[in-house]
This record gives sequence, C-alpha cells and structure tokens, in this order.
Amino acid sequence: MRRVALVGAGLSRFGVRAAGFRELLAEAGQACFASVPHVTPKDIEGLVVGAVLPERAAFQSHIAPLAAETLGIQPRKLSARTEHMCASGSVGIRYAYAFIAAGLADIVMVLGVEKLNLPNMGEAVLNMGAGVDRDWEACFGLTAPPAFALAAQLHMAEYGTTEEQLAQVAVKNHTHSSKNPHAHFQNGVTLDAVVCSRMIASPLRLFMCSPITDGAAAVILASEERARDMTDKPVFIRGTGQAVHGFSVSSLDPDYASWPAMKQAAGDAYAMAGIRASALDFAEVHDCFAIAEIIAYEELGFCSKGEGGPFAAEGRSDYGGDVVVNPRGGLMGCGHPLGATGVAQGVEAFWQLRGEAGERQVPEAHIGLTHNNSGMGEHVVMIYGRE
Amino acid sequence: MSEYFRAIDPFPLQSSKNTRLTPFYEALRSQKLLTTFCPRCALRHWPPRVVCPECLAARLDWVDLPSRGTVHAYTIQDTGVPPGFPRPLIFAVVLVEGLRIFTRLVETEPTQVERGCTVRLCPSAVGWDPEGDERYVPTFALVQENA
Repeated sequence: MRRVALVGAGLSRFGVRAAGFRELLAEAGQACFASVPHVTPKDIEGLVVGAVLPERAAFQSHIAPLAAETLGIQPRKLSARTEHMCASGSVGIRYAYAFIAAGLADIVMVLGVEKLNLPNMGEAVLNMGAGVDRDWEACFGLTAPPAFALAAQLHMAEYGTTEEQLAQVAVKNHTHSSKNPHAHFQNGVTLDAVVCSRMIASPLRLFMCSPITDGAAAVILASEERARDMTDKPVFIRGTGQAVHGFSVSSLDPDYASWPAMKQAAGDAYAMAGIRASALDFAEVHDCFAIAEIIAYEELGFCSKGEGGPFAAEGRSDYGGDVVVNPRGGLMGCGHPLGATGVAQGVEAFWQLRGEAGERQVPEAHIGLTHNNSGMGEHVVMIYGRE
Repeated sequence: MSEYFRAIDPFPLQSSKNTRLTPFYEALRSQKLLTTFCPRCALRHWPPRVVCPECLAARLDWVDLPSRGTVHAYTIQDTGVPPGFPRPLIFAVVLVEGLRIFTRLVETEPTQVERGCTVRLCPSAVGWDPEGDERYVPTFALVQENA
C-alpha cells in the first residue's frame, strides 16, 4: 500500500450560523484550498462528503455532486457521500485514504458538512432522533444525551466517577476552545458554572454536552509522492481502525460503561502505526458528552478501566500532562456539526503536527490520534504523524 | 404541516402490511411482552428480530417474557425533549430475565426511581397507523410497592 498524507485543511466557523448548507461547505472548501496554494479544484480527482441529516435539515440529498459543483471540482476517480451518524467525517477520510493507498486515485478531498439549526428548533431536536433505532429507541423520544447519560450513570455506579470529574472535562475543553477562533464557544467556563448549569439528562448538565452546531470542514489527501510536490510539511496517516459492535443501547456490552469496540479500533490503529498510546502527543477524542471523554481515556489506553475520572481531575489530559486531549476544544467547545466533526479533528491534527495551531499549539507535537464515534458501540480511530 | 409530521413520525408501522413483527405489537396491545426465540441457537433476542443474528434463520418462534423487570440504570431528561413527547422523560435499561431492554418509564414519579427497583410493562399508545389502528410502544412503569 502507498503512504498517504494530508496536504491541506480548512474549516468554516462553527456555531449557530446565518448560512445555508451549500454556503457552509463552500467556506470550508475555500479555506482548505487556501492552505495549499499549489492545488486547484481541477487537480482534485475525488471528493467524499460526510453529511448526516441534509435530507431532513436541508431537504437535500445527492450531496457529493452538489459540493463538487459548488467548489468547481469535477471528480474523475471517486465521488461519494458517507453517512455514519456522528462518525461520517472520519469514515469519509478512511475511504479517501484507502482509494489513494490502493493507487486508485492520487488526490482526494474529504468534506464534512452539517446544517443543524433550523427556524423551528423542535424540528432540529426531532431530527437527531433519526440517528437512533426508530422502532426500539426513537419511538420513546430518545436522542443522544440520555443514551450517553445511561453510560454515565453506570460508570458512576461501577467506578465511582463523580459529577465534579465530569465537570472538569467540560472546563478543560471549554478552556481549550477559548483559544480556537473557529469554535462555537470561545468564552471558557468555570467549574461552578458547569455544575450549576441546567440538567439535560441526569447526570449530564448543559456544559457537559456538545451543542447543536452548524459547520463544515475539509482536508485534501494525496499519495506521498504527490504530497511532497505540494507541500514541505505533509501530515501522514499512520494508522486507522474501525469497529462496530452494536447499533442500539439494548445490544451494547452488558457493562455499557465499557466500549470494547473503541479498544479494538484503537488497537488496530496503534498496531498499524507501530506505536503505543504513550507515544501520543495529543488526541482529539469524541467528547459528545463529558462521560464519553472519560471512557475514551480508558479504552484508548491512557489509563486503566475506571480511572478516567481521576485522569481528568489530575490534569493528565491537559497541557503539561500525559497527553493533551482535545486541544481544539473537542465537540463540547467547538460544537458538533455531525458530518463535519471527524474531518475537523483531522484539520486539527494537520495544524498541530505542522506547528500551526496558534495559542493552543501542543509543544513538539509529532504524533496524534483522532477518535470519532457514532454511538457507544461504533468507533473510528485515526493516527496522524509528521513522518 | 401536521400531515408532514404524520408521514414520517418516529413510531414504527405495526400492521402486517408493514412488518413481520405484528404478533409482538398485537400482544403488546393486550399488555403482554413477547420476543423472538431461535430454536436452532436456543437463543432469545431483544429486541424481537426478523432473522437470528447468530445463524440468520428466519424461522423464529414467539415466546412470552415476564411483564416485570428491574431497573439497571436510568436517566431523567428535562431539556432537549423532542416535540410531541412529555417532559420529563425517564429512560431506563430494564433487566428482564437477563435481557437488557432499553425503554422509557411512564406513570412514574421521577424522584421514586432507583437502580434495582421493580417495573412492570405499561404499553403507551403513540398514534394511529395508516390502517387506522392505534400503535403501542413497550414502555414500563414503576411498581408501587417499591415506593
């Protein structure tokens, strides 16, 4: 297989945006091309677009050709949309990676885009139920917060994780996003404000949850040979893994505060990269809710099972700790425009590994991980490195 | 607009025109809980299946489940409840003879729910299907002797 690198990356501003679906993807696409001046839309041989809810939120399917036309791209090797709920963006990066590694294309763009905020926010909330099992979950009114709240309840009961530890994860990520000009939330938040914020689904309070966010992200991937012509600082995909153990809450592991599919995806990615967790300088993990980041520490191998709460409380996931987790601010700080999130994690890895992350730069970042999930039993892990 | 929501509401279509799981929903209407059993694997499923996920057999038997279970974990959602659903929503994982059933508790005071408490099947009507039959979903309720 050929080696594959990111050569360009760009984001739209994330937030409640006065912009439509097409405008958001155009913004990210423009920013991405601006980051790699030697590449024009006509050089792009393939386009993969991650998007989850355009049929409901924008009354629009047929997304990849729409995005191509918007950006002046005429794909000749690959054109596809990926939909895998919250992991759609990372799944798209894996497609592009595989196509290039196999020699079927040399240069592929991956876009992730989501327009979630609508004039009728009730409809925006109802739409989120489309990502769970209609027959056995959505019919009860389930959306993501209570599903992850159940895992939090079990984690607290089984391992003694506390509400304060959940809050500390939220404070860390909001502090990080205060240094990210693309983030939905840039004001930071205090521990008091988190533990006094409105209860969403017990024990998860407002600031322990990612918000409903509009946004888009884009990266350009190329074969190593082409990448070296385009930039002095390619960022290589060193490893990747994906595992799906179950779709619905009822089919999760009996201890649903343990997510073995994440451990499996990470194990495959580490083996492919030839590294251990201790080699990582940073990790962008899927903190859709604070409990998810705590479980991620455990399943990614940063600490042992049940130690995720203390790991956060002792600052081991912050600057100066074992590994900087979510330097961009994660989903809690940046927002979670579903299809865009996995691609935005790749954008952050690109900036961190090129030393272009500004105030939130992780010192001497050589290798980093991204983790994107689409449910508690479905996980994607990518490992990116300078070499 | 109401027609639009009705066409794509989040509730399963339950008549035999739309699903092979109609026996489950008919039993639910009479306050009984069924699930599928694969005779080849000697495996009981939850939720009911149209094929056995272990051997892919499509010939599955219907078996009765007890209508009582215990709460393994629960959460109370106050904010961000989808339109058309009551507030607050109490979601729970309920253990019924070793099966983990994700469900919602109804007719229940949120402050009285605890891990390990006993709940009973209490199906909820959720709206008519295109054939004009009321549809039900398998919600549970707290058994009062817990309180």
